[in-house]
Amino acid sequence: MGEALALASALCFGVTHFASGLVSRRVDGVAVALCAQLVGSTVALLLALSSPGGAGTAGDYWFGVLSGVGTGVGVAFLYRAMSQGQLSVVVPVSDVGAVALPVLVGVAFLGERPAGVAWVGIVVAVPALWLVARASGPGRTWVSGPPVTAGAPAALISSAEFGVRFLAMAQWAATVACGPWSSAGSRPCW
Amino acid sequence: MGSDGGLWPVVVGRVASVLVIPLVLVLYRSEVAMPGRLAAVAGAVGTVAIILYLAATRHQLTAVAAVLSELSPVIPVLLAQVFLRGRRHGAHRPALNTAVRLRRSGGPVSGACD
Repeated sequence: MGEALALASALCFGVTHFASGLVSRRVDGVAVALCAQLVGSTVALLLALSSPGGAGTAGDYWFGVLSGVGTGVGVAFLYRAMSQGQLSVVVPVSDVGAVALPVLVGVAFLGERPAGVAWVGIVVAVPALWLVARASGPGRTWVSGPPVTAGAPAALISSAEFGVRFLAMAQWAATVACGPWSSAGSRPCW
Repeated sequence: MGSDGGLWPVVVGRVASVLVIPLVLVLYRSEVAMPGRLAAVAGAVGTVAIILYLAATRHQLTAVAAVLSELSPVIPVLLAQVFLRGRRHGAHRPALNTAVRLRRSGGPVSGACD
């Protein structure tokens, strides 16, 4: 169940970045990010209004804010990087870091102990992401395009911010599950 | 999210993201432009992605959920292959370059922000 939801989330994040990347080729990526987040906020508001749920705890909102800051800065720099440089460089740089950070923090500071098979998946996934994203178009074939390193600094910043976002969202989900409103046994608490 | 904090923290997070982007806008001295309907769709799908990720982390370890969720770079590559007819190897131009050409020739992605 968790895996299916995470994959569906990946599908949606992928569609989001693909669409934004398209637009960022002709409009400044930061403006694209702003427009996308404005519409995203509206959708979130409509969904919140139409769904049941309590007021939440202060912790929920702090993690929500932290996640939002990570998302905002992350997409602004990612789409900016897409405007500046090559997708085949920018996307893997951004995403490998965004994967590595939550894994490292989860294991080092949150006491997570993924099972052996999960470790294999994690170890394989990081280089796989790089290879798959690279396969979208080798840098040297971009005729009269930007240099290979264009956009890489912005992509690195977005990478760290996306890592912050994933950590914040995961912590937030944990506090919800561990709080007085949680359904018993939904997940272990840290 | 059921009987917990509902989706309001998601709303707060989205609003926070809107508030920090202008700082980056100023940093790069970017011009404020209307990116088009496709950017709006991207934002809406992004909200769904966040909600799905939150749901996933309630069933799964952070590390595993993050890795699965960040398989997302695969999706743009696949979409480019399917919709932009980009070639996997030895492409003469990146898929997005093709997309811009498609768009300029009257593609379906024009329109206002919202």
